[in-house]
Amino acid sequence: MTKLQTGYIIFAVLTALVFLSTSSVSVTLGFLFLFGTPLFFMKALPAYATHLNYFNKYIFLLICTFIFVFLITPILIIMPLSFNAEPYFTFT
Amino acid sequence: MQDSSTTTPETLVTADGVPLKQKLIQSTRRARWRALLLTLPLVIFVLVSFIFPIGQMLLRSVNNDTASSVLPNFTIAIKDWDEQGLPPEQTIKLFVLDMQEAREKREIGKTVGNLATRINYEIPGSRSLFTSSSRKLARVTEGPYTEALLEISEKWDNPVLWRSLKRATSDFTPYFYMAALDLKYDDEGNITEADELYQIYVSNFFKTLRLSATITFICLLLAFPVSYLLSTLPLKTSNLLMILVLLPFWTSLLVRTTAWIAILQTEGIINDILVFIGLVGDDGRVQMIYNQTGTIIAMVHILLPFMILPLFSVMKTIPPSYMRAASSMGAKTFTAFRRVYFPLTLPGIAAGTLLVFILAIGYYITPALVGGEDGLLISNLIAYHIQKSLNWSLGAALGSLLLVIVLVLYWLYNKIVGIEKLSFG
Repeated sequence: MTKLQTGYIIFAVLTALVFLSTSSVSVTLGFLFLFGTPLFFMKALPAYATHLNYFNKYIFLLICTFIFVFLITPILIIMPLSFNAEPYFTFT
Repeated sequence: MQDSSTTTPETLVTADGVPLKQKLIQSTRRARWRALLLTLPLVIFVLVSFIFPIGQMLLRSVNNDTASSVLPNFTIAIKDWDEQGLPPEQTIKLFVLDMQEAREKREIGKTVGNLATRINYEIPGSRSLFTSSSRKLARVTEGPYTEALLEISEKWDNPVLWRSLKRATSDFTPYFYMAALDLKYDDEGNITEADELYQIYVSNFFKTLRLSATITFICLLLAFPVSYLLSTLPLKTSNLLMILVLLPFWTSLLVRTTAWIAILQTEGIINDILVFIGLVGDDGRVQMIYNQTGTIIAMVHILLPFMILPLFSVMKTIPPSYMRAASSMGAKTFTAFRRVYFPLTLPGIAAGTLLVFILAIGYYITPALVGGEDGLLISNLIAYHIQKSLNWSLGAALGSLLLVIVLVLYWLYNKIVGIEKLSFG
């Protein structure tokens, strides 16, 4: 089993744990998106890379994902907002 | 054929005997004029749209011609007053006559109202004294004028008021700069600190500097990993991710700021999520907007692309083999980053921080919309004085001080980092 596959399995277990503890689909989907995206973009590192290297790389990609979400959320948020019938900013 | 030995070897001349250097200048003169003419539209544009308004602002911040244009004769007479007790009868007579004339002529910018507003800056509450006295003074036709004035209002029996009037008649005044630095004239005419209630500008300047520094630092922290990722990814992926950076850049400033209101308000998305997860109760929603937090979050989002783009373009030029070479020579990852990669990114960091900091220090729209009361910057106070209180001179003085601060920071930056290190890639 490669080190990347170990990561996939750990992530799957964590997702299951999140779903079991919150029993909410939306929270699980949010977790899946936020923490799965960096995993999706992970590539196999050189053969000498240790588990710690993989973990560091994952944390780095996770931080980048958060920053990209921070950058793009205000742009996307106005789309559902434009269907708003209320006088002030509320999601209907 | 002419003998070449007749000319000295130092001055080369052309066939018709003119020195070569002079001939060369002559022949390139037309080209130089043409080049100058081509830059003329830009020079005129910069002069008209930039240099001239800044000059106007600097002039406006010290200009003090209201009183001397409303009271021309009094202005000359008051110069001889020794500032003890009331001015002599002759001076007060000129004051009354000037007031009467200003009331009759009603020239724009030269009315008693303008004068009253000007004195009211220094002595709050004196505005009504001037306007009501002006009305009653119209009936005064003969002396003694001092008694007539005191009969109208006891408040004229006040040397502080006359001293303030005397100061107001000089052509230039440091008063607005003093006001912008929380200073004022006391009753004896000395410069002292303003009342504690009115000390708002200096603390606001410091708050602006502090917030701008915080925003710049957060921007740098967020931009560094993203730029590194973008510069190391294959071109196809990085182009795709670059859109995520550029999309906020292309969206209107107002749209983004309004979106942040929708996200951060107490009934907004983040609070809804926090309540949904159960981190906070429904009655304990976090106030994240209309304070400094809101200003920082929204401004970091808006200014982040200005940090990412120069950092990215500099990191793009750093060959990845440098880091590998450092590793092969025994450097740990962190050491290789600190000793090799980080110094190479310094030009980008320099450019990004300078850009973000100078943009942040004069930012207006975002703090005005999401800043509430606490998160207002100095630019909002300037806008207040230009648009609401109509004390343009104070607004100009604050603006000039801001300009000076930026220039000093630029000079410091040049001393510490060196402006030649600046690189946008």
